[in-house]
Amino acid sequence: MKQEQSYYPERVKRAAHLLFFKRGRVPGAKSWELKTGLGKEYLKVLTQLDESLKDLDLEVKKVESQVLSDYKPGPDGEEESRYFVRLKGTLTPREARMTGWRIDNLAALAACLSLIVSKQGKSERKELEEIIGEKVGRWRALTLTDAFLRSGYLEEDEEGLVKLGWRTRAELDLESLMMLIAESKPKGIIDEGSTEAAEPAEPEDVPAEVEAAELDDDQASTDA
Amino acid sequence: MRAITSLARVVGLQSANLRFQSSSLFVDPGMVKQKIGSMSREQLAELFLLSWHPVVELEQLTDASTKEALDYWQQMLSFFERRKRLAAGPFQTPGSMDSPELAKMRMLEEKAFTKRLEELRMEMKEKAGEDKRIEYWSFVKTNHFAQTVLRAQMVSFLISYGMAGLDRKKEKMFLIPRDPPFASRQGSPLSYPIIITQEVVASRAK
Repeated sequence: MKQEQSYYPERVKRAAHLLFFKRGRVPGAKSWELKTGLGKEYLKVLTQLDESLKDLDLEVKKVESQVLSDYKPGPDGEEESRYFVRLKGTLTPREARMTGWRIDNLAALAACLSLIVSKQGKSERKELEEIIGEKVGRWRALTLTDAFLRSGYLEEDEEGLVKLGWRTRAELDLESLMMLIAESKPKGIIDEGSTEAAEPAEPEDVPAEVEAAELDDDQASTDA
Repeated sequence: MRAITSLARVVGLQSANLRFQSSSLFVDPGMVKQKIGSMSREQLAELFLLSWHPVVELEQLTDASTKEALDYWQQMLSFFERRKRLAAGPFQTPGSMDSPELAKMRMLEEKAFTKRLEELRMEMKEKAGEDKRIEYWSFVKTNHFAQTVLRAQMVSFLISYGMAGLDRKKEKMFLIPRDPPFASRQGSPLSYPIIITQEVVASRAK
């Protein structure tokens, strides 16, 4: 056990380097890259890194190969997964501005993703642009759809149908998003039991909501 | 009362069913469209933020990228070697040029603007003599039209900055040089448009 403790820190550092620094188009590292860099016991190293990142509200997230359409099996034929480091909790609207996405963009992305999910994973681009256009205007809808495709939240297949991209699989808790949208009430409709949902989000209200979402996430995503 | 309770129960069951459908990602697209349509942008963004865990990624120099950059730099040909390939002809070495030459090429002002204003004021004061005033055209006019326009422009700055005054008497205008300290409030609050054309300057010479 003592030997393990003195042995892992170096590997944990190396794992952090591999996962944090972007080397190609997609961030994170493939399972075979981690195996090459960290050895056969890379999963243990990742678990330890995940433990260390908890204090920083970060986590190691594994995305299975079957949901990453552009990933092929690794060199040794083993099923390939990709590992990312992502935020464990969620951001407040104020913090979200630091990510470079405007509130309008996030709303448009939420609309796109929920529509695609409801259509069993694929939707026509035109339909998406129409639904975003209702919120942000037609021209902005065109540019935003392009931006979502570029950043990996959406992917377009050969038939011109839009589906969920690798970034959505890595960053979004879709069950939580769909549940929140299904349960939402338009602003202005106020009932006694859910005044928080109908009122504009005050900064003080957000942590409570975030906590609730975090509980779901813990169960859904710490599989590294 | 029973009817209301039953209705509430139906709504409750519908809600539970919707919840189940959402958790299994099987939701009616029509319902989703309706929900999205009824929500504000802020509300949608808030819901998105509650489900969003952005990936952390760093884009900066690493050992590998630094080594790559160093290799590139070392393999790169010198400027003169690369220039040869362009067949740009003989290379002229950079030379130097002093201020008077640059002034001659009109790339640099010979004197600072304020210094030139001060010199013009002193000239005005000298020419005004004991009368302490001088007729506008006799001061501004020179043998060269371009020079006359330049002096007129400089005089307008002297008046605006309060370094000289302009007194109009019938058809004649007099310049009154002032002594420091100057204050911008001493400048004329009014504008006097003075037409300067070659004909006007020629007629004033008579």
